Amino acid sequence: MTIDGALPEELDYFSPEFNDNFDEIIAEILEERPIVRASGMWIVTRHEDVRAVANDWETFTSSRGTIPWNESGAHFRPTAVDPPLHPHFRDPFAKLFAPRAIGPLEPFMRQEARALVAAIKEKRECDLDADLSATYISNVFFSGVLGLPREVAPKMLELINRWNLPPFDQEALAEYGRYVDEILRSQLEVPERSPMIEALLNLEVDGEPVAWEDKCNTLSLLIVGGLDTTINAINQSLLHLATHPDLRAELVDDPSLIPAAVEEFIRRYPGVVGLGRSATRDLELHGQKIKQGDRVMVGFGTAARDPRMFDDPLEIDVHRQAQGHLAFGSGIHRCLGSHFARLEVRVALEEFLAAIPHFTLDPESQPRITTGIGREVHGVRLLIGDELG
Amino acid sequence: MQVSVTDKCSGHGRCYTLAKGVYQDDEIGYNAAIGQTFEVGADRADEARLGAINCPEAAILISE
Ligand code: HEM
Ligand code: SF4
Repeated sequence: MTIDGALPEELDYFSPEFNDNFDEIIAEILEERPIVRASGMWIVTRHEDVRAVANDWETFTSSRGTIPWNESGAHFRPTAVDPPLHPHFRDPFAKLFAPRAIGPLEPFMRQEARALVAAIKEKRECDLDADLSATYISNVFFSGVLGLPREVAPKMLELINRWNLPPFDQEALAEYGRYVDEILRSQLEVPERSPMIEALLNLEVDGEPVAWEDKCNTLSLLIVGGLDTTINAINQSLLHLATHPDLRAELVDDPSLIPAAVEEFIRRYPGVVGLGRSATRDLELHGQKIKQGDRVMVGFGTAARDPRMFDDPLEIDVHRQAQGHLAFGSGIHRCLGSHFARLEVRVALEEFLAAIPHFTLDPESQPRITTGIGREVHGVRLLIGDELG
Repeated sequence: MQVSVTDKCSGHGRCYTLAKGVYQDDEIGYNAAIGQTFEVGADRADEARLGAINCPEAAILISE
C-alpha cells in the first residue's frame, strides 16, 4: 500500500502503512475510487454516496451493528437498530441533546475548562489527555450530563480504548458491557438521577419497558459516543494549533472565528472514519458487486474530505463559505451528541486560547495516532510560553 | 426568494446556527419549518443562502 504506487485491489485497514499514510491514501481513494475494498469490507468514500447510503437503511441496515468490520456491535442502541424500533431508543434523548437543552450547560462547562486551563498555565506544560481533554470531558459529560460517578470514567475509557483501537480486544468489549451493567445497576439506588439516566431507565417500546440489557446497551453507546470522540477532537484541535501559529494568532485575535475552527477541526480530523452497515440484498454500486450480507463502511470521515465538496480539504480554513460536512453522520442515525460535542470543544478552545495564547508541541513528545473507528491522537505534550511561537 | 425546508433535514443545526434570522430550531434541534415553503425578503437573502449551502443534507431548497 505505497503512496507512490497504484492502490492495491484491497487495502489493509489495520496495517501500519494505512495508519501512517492515512491522509495521502484517503486523498487518492477519494480521487480514484468511490468505493473501495478494505479488510473484508467495502468503504463508500464520497460525500454524495455516503449520504445516499446512510439514508437508505432498508438496503444498508444498521441492525447487524455499526462497528464497521464485524458484527460485534450489534447490541448497541440506538445505533444498531432500524425503524420502526429506532425512534423508541433515540427520541427520548433527542430533546435532552437539542441545542436549547444543552445551551444552558455552557457556564458550567466554562468553569470546568477555566479551572483546568489555569492549572496548566501555572505548570507551564501539559499532557493534553491527563491535564485537559480526558479530565474535562469526564467532568462535563460523564459526571455532568450523565450524572455518573466521576471516578468511574477512567476505567470506562481504558476499556473503550482496548476494544475500539487496535488491537480491538474483544474480551474488553464484553468486559465493558459488564461494567456498564454494574454502573447502571448502582444508579437504581441513587436518590437523584440525571435526566439522561431517567430517560434511559424509562425506555419503552409500544408501552412495554425495554429489557434491562437494552438499557445497558443504550448506556454503553452513550458513553462510547460521548467520551472518546470529543477527547480526541480537543487533542486534535490543540495539536493543530500548537503547530500552526498563524491560525492560532488569528483565533486569539478574533475569538468569534473559533466556532468555524471547531467545525473545521471536526471535519478535517475524523473522530469517526466510518461506521458499518450490512447490505440486505445484492446490488451494484459504481460497478462493484455488493452481495447480501457484505459489510459496508459508510465513510463519514472520508466524505468530510471529499474535494468535490471542499477545496483544499486538508486545509483548516476558518473562512470557508460552505462547511456542510458529514463527520457527524447523515439521516436518521445522525449524531445525537453533535450539538453537545461542538459546545464542549468550542468552550475548551475558547478558554485555552484566552488564557494561553502561546504554546508549542514539546519536542520530546511523540503524539501517537491510531486508526480504529476514528483517527485518535494521544500522548500530546505542550509547552506553554510567553512569546515562543 | 422562496425557501423550502424538506424532510431530508436530520437536525445538523447548521442553518439556524449560521443564519438565525431565517431559520429556527425546534425542540429536538431540527429545522422548525420542515415541510414548509416561505418567502424571504432581499434583506435576508444572503443569510438564507448561507444556511442552505451549509446544510450537510442539502435539505434546504432555494428558488430566486
Ligand atoms: C466530535 C465528536 C463526535 C463525532 C465525530 C461523532 C460522530 C457520530 C457519527 C458519524 C454518528 C452516526 C452513526 C451512524 O450513522 O451509524 C454518530 C451517532 C451517535 N453519536 Fe456521535 N459523535 C461525536 C460526539 C458524540 C457525543 C458527545 C455524544 C453524546 C452522547 C454522541 C452520541 C451519539 C449517539 C448516541 C449516536 C447514535 C445515534 C443513532 O443511532 O440514532 N456522539 N456520532
Ligand atoms: S442544516 Fe439542514 S439538516 Fe441541519 S437543521 Fe438545518 S435543514 Fe436540518
